Amino acid sequence: MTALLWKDFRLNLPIAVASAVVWAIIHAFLILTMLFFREGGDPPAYIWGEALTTTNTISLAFSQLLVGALGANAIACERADRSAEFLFALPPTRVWILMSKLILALALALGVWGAHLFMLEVIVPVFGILPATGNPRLAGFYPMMLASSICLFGGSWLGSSLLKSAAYALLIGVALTGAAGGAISSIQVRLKLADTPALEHTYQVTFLVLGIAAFAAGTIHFLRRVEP
Amino acid sequence: MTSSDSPAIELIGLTKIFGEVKAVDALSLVVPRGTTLGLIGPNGAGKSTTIRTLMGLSTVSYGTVRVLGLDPAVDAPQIKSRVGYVPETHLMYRWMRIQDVIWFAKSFYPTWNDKLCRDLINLFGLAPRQKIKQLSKGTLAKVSLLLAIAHEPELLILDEPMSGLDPLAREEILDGVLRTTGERQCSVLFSSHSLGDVQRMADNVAMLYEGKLLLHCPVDELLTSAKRVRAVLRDGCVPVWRPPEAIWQCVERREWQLTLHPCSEQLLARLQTEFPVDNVEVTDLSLEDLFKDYVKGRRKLA
Repeated sequence: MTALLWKDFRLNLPIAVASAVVWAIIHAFLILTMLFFREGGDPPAYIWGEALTTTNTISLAFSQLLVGALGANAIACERADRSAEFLFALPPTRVWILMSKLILALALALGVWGAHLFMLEVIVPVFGILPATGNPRLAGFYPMMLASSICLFGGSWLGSSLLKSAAYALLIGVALTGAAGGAISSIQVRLKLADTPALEHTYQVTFLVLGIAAFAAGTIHFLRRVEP
Repeated sequence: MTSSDSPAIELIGLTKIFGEVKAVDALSLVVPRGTTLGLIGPNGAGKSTTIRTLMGLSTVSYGTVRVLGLDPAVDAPQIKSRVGYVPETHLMYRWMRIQDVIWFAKSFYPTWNDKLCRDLINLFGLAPRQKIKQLSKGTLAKVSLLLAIAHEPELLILDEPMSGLDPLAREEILDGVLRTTGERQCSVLFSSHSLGDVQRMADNVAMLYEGKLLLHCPVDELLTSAKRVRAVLRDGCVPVWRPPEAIWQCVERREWQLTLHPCSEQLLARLQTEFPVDNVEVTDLSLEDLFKDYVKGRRKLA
């Protein structure tokens, strides 16, 4: 398993490095902007806190694409360069191969979420601002992000199991999440429904169910498929 | 039959269909333990498809496949841990170094022999720190063979391992295989277009043509029993029928050439009495000549 995890870590390293670099650049940009535009002295602490909250909520929303990319890259990348043929001639079972991919993808996704949660729940309160979980504006933010991340990951994982291209696999994930969200929004507009917690719950459950179903379909397809 | 006394490979009516094309058609074949089988045939004959089904990398449409007594559809991981496989194209992770790919593969084989691995690195002149993406086709083939051999497999399956290699690299690969099979009771199945190598390595040969088995016999027996016959026909005469033993024949003016398998004294005597020929000359054939005649004969019949 160690060798498989090492291999999958190396395969996902470009995505992990790219996301870390983007995250660092966003924060560097924020800090530079705050310092550049200060007028008559340093900005008060709460401004820093507000800025960090805004930056990290936007960054967390965009990092869903990264979670999707991890799902899309999991199987398709080895099929694209045909290294899957080498791997499948070796003794590990499909279940082990898949477990390693899943563990790595989940670990990296957790890393991404962890970095954002650390900023929003640990660093931001240092500046005297409520943490995101206690902030009424962001109360439903985490569950919604998590549900849509799972939908995006599941869709991309299914695409990765079916296709040779990680880019097209990610498109499947984006399309699935977009279509689900779009469908509920259309119904909301047509029926003139207000933004209620129940509606938010509907979004979340839909994303979760679709994500888990797509993930299960991708997993079953991968395990049943004989050819690499 | 337990997996230890079963044949290395047993195929019963193996059929593989892609769409409307039968890539392998009712192939039945047994490779006893400790023997080397050369699988030959023109491009598209079904050699690689057969090998991929043995490794559990392709499904079987009909028929039974047993490798070391195990079914690749069910026991593929066990088969892969006991079989060394060198594919036609060497598709290792391009970002790995040779030492990485060895460490990676080694972790899956409890029987991995480090000393043998070091010996093979020296024999093949490999530089462990070199990246896979920088390797030539010949060096890639050597790495692939090293990975297949170093875990001391019971069965070695080589799918055109020498294709596209220069004569020196081919010789080194051949040495590696011969050394391994010579020192251990290892069964070998290898497909190749290099029939000189097959003649040198194989105990038995199986010839495939359009997915069907044309021939399966010991190489020595084949080379002893098959002959090329040149006969001079009498003026204005043509052979009125074709002997059933003729796998290929050609008539040019008065010269009648036949490849006979099996060729016997009785058959030659019959040829001289039943056909209008003056002079009969018999010559030996190489495996390559025989292969060509078998394929040309089949194409003429088709």
